[in-house]
Amino acid sequence: MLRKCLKYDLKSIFRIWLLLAATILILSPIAGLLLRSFLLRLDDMIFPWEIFLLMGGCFLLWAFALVIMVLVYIRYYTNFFKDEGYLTFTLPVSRSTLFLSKVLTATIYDAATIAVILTSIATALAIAPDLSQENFTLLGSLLTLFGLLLGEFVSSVSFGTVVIIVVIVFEVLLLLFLSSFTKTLFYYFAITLGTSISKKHPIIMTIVLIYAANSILPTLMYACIYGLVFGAGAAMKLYPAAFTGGSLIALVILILLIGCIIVTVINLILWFASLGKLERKLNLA
Amino acid sequence: MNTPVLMCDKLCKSYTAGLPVLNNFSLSLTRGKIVGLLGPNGCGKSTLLKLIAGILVADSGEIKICGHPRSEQTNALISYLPERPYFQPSMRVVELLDYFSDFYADFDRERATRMLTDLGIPQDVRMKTLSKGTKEKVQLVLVMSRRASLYLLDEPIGGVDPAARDYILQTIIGNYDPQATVMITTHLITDIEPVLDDFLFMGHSGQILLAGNADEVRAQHGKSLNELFREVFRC
Repeated sequence: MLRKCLKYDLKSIFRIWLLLAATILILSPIAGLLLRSFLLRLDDMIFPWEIFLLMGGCFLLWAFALVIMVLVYIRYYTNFFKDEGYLTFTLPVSRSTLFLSKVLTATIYDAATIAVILTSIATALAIAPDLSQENFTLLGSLLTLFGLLLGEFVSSVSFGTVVIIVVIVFEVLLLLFLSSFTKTLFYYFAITLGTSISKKHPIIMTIVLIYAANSILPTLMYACIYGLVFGAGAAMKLYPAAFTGGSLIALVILILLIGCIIVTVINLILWFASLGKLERKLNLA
Repeated sequence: MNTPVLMCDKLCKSYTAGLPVLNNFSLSLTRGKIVGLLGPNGCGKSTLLKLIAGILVADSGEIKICGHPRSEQTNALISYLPERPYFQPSMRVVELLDYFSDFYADFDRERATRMLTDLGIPQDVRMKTLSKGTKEKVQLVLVMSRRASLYLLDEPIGGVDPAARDYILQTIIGNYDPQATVMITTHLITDIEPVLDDFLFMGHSGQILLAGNADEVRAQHGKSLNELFREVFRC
């Protein structure tokens, strides 16, 4: 049933996503040409009109990501809490499957949107020339530089170091992967809670909850970072031996692992809190 | 086969504390009946159907469908028609047929296509372009094209013209399985009366004021259900 739910959830905004993605990708070479024009006449420039258009392009990329994100959340809201809920919740599908489908849909669209944005930027950079090197585009130069740095790094370090770096990179990627779900689960929870708190003004309540959380969470996050920095500073003074060579690397790996565990716990709390509301407190108008 | 298709036991539901819409409501329905759930506005008819369909969660009490406690599995046995359109407006009628075919194993697509053709509803149009009455017809066609054990129809003829009402009533009679039960709520008692086997008059808080076989009660009182309704619920 998850496959079927996903099919319809993905399909519901696919046409709009495709239209916007195609527009972005079609405009990318134009952005590249604008960047090229800007770079080529950099020396005798009087009015940098290309910059304004490129800023417009950046705004378009941002707007594309925002529109898709908003559409995904609107779809969650209408599908679960408006009249469409009468169909959704009478399907022979468990609420956890319905909810999982929504979470996966948001994640898939997030990933696809980021891929389109990166492709668009890469296309523009592939057209714009690198003035410091002849016959090189900005993308070519960046890739060459990255390849050189990576090659130099790999040849200069031992196999053991490469393994450690692979572990750290894996942990960082895992942390990013888990965090991508946190954003979706948090917004879904805000919508679910907002709808159950205020039947008359669910959208306003949702926005209030998101705003409140966005005000409180960064404060908590900064408090945690400061605590970590000061704690690490104090620990360095007290136990200097623990912060040298292999011990430091082990500590970094441990901190990243703790980060992954914390994010997983937050995700699970948001998951069960939202699902609990959907299963026990759902009362459509 | 003797298991009731629907069993409600001491159901309680209130939207506001201290004001129960349903208070200890109990009901048992056998198979093969068309049952009219009749009562004044606000007596809890729609609330009862929503509780059975799983749209609302009861404060207390138990609901069993074909002997199984209400759950998403029992949704496969229930075909529910709410009083409002519940489709994504951008979906085409044909996409709705796909949707029902995908999710309901008991959906008879051929029957649905035939009924849509009879009603002159094209399949390639989007729901948002249809009138309210046509949307209701599409919804009814989809709901009645399932081979469910229990049909819950909330005001199925409320928003359609009298000519379409006849077709809809014929659809309800002609399409339900003899082993299934249809539960209908409506205010248009005169229209629905000829098709009802049984009926329930629901008073406030879900109190059952009068219930029984429609023919027997008509013979006993010498009045139609419509006349009885006016008498029981006189303001």
